[in-house]
Amino acid sequence: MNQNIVVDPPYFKNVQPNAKYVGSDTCASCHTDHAKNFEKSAHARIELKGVEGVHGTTCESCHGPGSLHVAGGGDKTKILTLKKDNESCFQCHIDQKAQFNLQYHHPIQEGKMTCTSCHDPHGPDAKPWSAVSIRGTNDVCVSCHRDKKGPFTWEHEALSSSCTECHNPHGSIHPKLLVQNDLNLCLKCHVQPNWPTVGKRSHSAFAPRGNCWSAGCHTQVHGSNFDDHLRY
Amino acid sequence: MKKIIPFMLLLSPLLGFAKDPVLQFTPGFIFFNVEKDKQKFEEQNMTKVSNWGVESFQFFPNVLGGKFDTELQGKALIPNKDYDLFFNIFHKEDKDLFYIKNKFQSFTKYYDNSGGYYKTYTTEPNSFTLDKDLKLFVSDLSTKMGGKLSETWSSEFEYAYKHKSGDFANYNWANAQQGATQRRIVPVYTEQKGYDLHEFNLAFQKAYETGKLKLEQGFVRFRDKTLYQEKNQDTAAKLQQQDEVFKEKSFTSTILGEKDFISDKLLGGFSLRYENTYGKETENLDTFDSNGAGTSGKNFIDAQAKHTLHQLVFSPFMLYTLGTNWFLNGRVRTAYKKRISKATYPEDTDTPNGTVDETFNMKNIDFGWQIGEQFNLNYKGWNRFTPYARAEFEQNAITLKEDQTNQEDSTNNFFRETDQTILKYLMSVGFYSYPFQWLKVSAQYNFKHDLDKYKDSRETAASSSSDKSAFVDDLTQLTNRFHTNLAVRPLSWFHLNFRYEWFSKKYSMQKEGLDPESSYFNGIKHAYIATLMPMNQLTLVETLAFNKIQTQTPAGGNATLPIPYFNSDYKAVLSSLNYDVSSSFSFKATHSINWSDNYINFESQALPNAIDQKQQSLEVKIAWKPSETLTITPGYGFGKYDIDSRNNIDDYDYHYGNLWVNWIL
Repeated sequence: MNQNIVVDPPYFKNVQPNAKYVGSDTCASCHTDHAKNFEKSAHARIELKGVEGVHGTTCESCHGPGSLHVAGGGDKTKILTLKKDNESCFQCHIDQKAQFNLQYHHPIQEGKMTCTSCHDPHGPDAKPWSAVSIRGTNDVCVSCHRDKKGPFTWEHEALSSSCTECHNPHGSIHPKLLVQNDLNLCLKCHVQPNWPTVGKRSHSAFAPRGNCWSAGCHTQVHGSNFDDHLRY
Repeated sequence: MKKIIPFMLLLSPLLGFAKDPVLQFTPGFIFFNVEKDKQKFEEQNMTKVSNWGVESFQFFPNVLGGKFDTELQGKALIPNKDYDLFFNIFHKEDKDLFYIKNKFQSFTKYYDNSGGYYKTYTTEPNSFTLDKDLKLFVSDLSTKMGGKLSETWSSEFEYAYKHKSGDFANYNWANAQQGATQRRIVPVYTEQKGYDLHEFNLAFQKAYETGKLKLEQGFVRFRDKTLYQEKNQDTAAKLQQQDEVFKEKSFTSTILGEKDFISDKLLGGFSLRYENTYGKETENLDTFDSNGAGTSGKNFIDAQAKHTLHQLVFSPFMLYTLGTNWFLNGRVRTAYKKRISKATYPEDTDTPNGTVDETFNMKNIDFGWQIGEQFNLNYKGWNRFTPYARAEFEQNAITLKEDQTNQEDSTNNFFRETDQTILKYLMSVGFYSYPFQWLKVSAQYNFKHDLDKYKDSRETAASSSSDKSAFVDDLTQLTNRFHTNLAVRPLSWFHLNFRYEWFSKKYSMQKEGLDPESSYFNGIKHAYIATLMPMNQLTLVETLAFNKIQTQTPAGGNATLPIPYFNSDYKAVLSSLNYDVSSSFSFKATHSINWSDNYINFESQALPNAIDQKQQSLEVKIAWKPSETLTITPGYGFGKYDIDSRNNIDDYDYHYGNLWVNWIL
């Protein structure tokens, strides 16, 4: 590898120290489907023109230099396969790496999930929700947390916005990966000018007992089949 | 070596010993000595205090011979039930011709058995723990089989099974009482009797010269049985149990098509997806006194809910190369959804006697359209610089009908019809650039606007003292976000990566009959990675991350019940050192620390839960390779977690030692 080229994530040195870049056209000759669909992906933006000799701006910017993989007839042990490896993602997505080291996190570091468990780096929905995804906003989350999917008789509109309104899916210092860990989580949407009234009911006696969901009241925050105030 | 050769010759008839590796496996153990809160340690580190087994194994059998190859690899750590098994069979010369991919993964998730903490309680316990270890076994099994049926047709069948069982902690707590002061801080748990998800998917794909067509049929069967247990520690000491069974069947049919209309210039396609879901839930809610007899509270007998969901989604897309350097990607999504939910909620009020005193019947229907548009534009005409822009729009028009009747008391009936209009748009602009050999830069700015409008066209009037639920007229969210990445390599052995992000999100909610009120969620994040490789054998990586995040609501300045702004700040430092001392000896050390200082004491108003904590860990290990086929890796580590904001009830310290031995045969 040319050690003067900054697009080389240092991590590659430890993985395939003797490999060289071959260019994404070489990758496309075998991986036709991925190459064709890659242009729809947000990652297609990282392809840079005019960097001759530096081929790691598309496929190899994540998978590492591919010469040994090509020479090995597609030997999977000679290329970074990101289904089992997250360090390549973390070379650019630094803050997510720090989040996965927090107290409450999805088990990426423990090897029970990988970035590709939720994200499709090649496809049009690298972030697994958008206005045009064929699947729903929260489908990635409910593939494991099916009990939160619903439908529920009484729905909580926050979920139609996204699970990430309340949870940080990578990691948090708060339990249940919450973004906020007290009344502010709910008040950011539900506060009124006449707080501590919510709706028409004063909550001044309830707030000291605990949080909206922990104080024995609105426990079914994802949706309830039986109570319009999400209490049961 | 002389000792090893006779050993290997002894095994060779069994293993088919040859020049290429046949088997690689790594048995070993790890043992932790944990002081203070062992359950919190298990929860955060996802392990029991002792763990042993085979950390990894890989088998390269050519058992099928001939045209097929197999791959087998996995892991088996017994105490944590941490198992991985990947077993693949594929055609040697063409992996797409025929393949079977099997996967099994499992692990145990541990939960802390303590609830909340209330500092003011002094004579009674100010925190509680369950006399129970909470752990949930999670497993995932899947098999995928596919191959080519002809020159142009291929198919794939996939089955996946997800299972969970055990006990997990809830984040809603039971009541504790000291005098007249009640606080909800007693831990609560749920017995997960069985979470079983079966998923089947069959796909056929036909490849044309200029495109492809894919047909998929999916079926999901899901069953979830839970028993929620909430026991108060107040004078009444009531136990509340909620027994739920949920069953669901879902059918999904999908057609995807794609065609090169103009070769290398215009690619177009579509997806059409229809989902049909049936769900049913039954629930019993019982309240018991300290003697186990039924008592007043919430008691529901055989509550039932049924759901039907139909959803049709049509999404065409286009990928157009405008000239040499412009790439335009456009997608549209149209969806129609209808959901019907019916529920019956029979309650045994007052002192329960098994007789239903009051029954609520509910029928809620929502139906409507969602249309989304997305456009991405990239320009690749400039050397070393790619700008891009993205726009996304979404429009929703949904009607929600809610009808609730009380069989015994019609004054409790409630009817409402709401027209929901949800409008969203998102704009992004940014660039990637590589202006010099030693510098890479990217930046992006996003603006997002979401507006949810709820108009009640028909509604049973609320009482003067009690609103009905869903009293929001409008909710607007405005988000501004900017982030940038910088990678610099001033020297061949020194690499620096920097990321900065700023975001600001404004929530504006207007309640029926009141003025709108605004809240804010703001943050600044910056992270640095420095990598030094002064020698080929030595790599040092240092990562620093700083996050300053705050949520502000008008309740922060309220005269009656002020709820201070919530801070989610934290700092993190990760350090790692890798040193290959020689070809047979290497050394690795990692250190991580994160800390936050967010706690504000406002216990007279509410239960504060912002975190003051510090967590750090250190691990060192050496890898000694006495031969080409053997690597011995002993390691040592220690760590601690201190959480002052909960009066250190969750603190833990640990030391550990481990030993892993990797054999290649």
